[in-house]
Amino acid sequence: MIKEALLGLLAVQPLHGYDLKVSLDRTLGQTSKFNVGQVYTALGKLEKDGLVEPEFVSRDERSEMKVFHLTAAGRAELNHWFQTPVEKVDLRDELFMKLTLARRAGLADVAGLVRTQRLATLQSIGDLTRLKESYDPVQDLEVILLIEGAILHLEADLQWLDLWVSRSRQG
Amino acid sequence: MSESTILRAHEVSRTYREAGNRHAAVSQVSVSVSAGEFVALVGPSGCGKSTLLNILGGIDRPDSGEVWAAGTRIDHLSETALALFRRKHVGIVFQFFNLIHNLDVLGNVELPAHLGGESGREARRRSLELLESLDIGELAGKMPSQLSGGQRQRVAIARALINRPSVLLADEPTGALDQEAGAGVIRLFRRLHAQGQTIVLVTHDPKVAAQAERVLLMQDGTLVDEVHPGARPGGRLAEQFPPPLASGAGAWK
Repeated sequence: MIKEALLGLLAVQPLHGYDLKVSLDRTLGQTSKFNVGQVYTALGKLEKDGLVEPEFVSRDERSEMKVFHLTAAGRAELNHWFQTPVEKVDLRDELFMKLTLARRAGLADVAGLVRTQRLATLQSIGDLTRLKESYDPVQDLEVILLIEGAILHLEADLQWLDLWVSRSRQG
Repeated sequence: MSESTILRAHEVSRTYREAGNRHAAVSQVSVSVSAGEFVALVGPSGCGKSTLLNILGGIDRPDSGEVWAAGTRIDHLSETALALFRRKHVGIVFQFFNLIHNLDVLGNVELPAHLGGESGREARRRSLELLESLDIGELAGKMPSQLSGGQRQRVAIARALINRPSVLLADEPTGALDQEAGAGVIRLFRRLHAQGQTIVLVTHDPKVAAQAERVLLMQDGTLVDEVHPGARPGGRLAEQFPPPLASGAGAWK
């Protein structure tokens, strides 16, 4: 996903490597967490594939910096990505692992585990609901939507926890 | 009972008869609410949260246990005494607003003041003032049927507050509203709480519950847990999101 993130950021404006890393963090936060090394490696690969092109711009009298911009091929690649739906069924779920193993191994009480998890989830929903208020509804619209998405996922988790309890009872 | 306690239930139980079977809606619950607190009761439907709210507000009586509100033991008051107590100390908001259809907004809001024996002129003055303070002054002459759901609930909240109750109780106040209108009503509750109003709210919606200071989880007629959602503002989770643009750390220079 780093490739698409970089192409997308460069479609907004040409940037040099470090600014790209900063923009990644500030725009996408944890949704795309890459270190500087990964950013430069990915940029190198994008350049080799002809998707981005460097341009040397003078920073001051003595030094210049390498600013990247999208090529036509890069733009086409990005458009293709925008037009492809995201396939998202994430089955790597630690909670599922925990509940299943607790149940099978008989090592932990599922009801107790569900209860602890339900409290933590409610706490997180409360935290996120308050965190949302520190953002501006116009300027920070995307982050607010990201937070609301996270809250909706947590609400789904709560319902799912209820299912574990009710179905375990039946069985 | 501590001095700041405004509501207290001690080992209350309430059983209903349902098709010949006895069903314990609330069993042996003890809870206390301090003056100025904003408490949410949350749990799956049928967990007894509405029954507990009704017992706390003197709308229903427990089969056993004690209920204290604003310094008075209310569970053994006569019906008349209880009705007087509620009028003075308890404001109630329902899921479906329960406004009187052939009275306009002002009429709905001033009705409890009239019932409380206040003069017509004074009741009217205070009702208008209250509507203004809740930013719905312009609705005073409208009939309930002319209002949106969110507006109706605001009017119902005004009506609940007109006699300056010690506690404001709300049973699923956002249950009949869309998300935006529901969020507006909850913001209003938080504003009232900030002004010192004691609020106890029942909801099945964790998002709504999370706005309270203290969340009590109910299950099968008992209180099973307690969460304090405001205790960790942003906290650990804040770092996972991009900072607000206005913080100066914005994405685009």
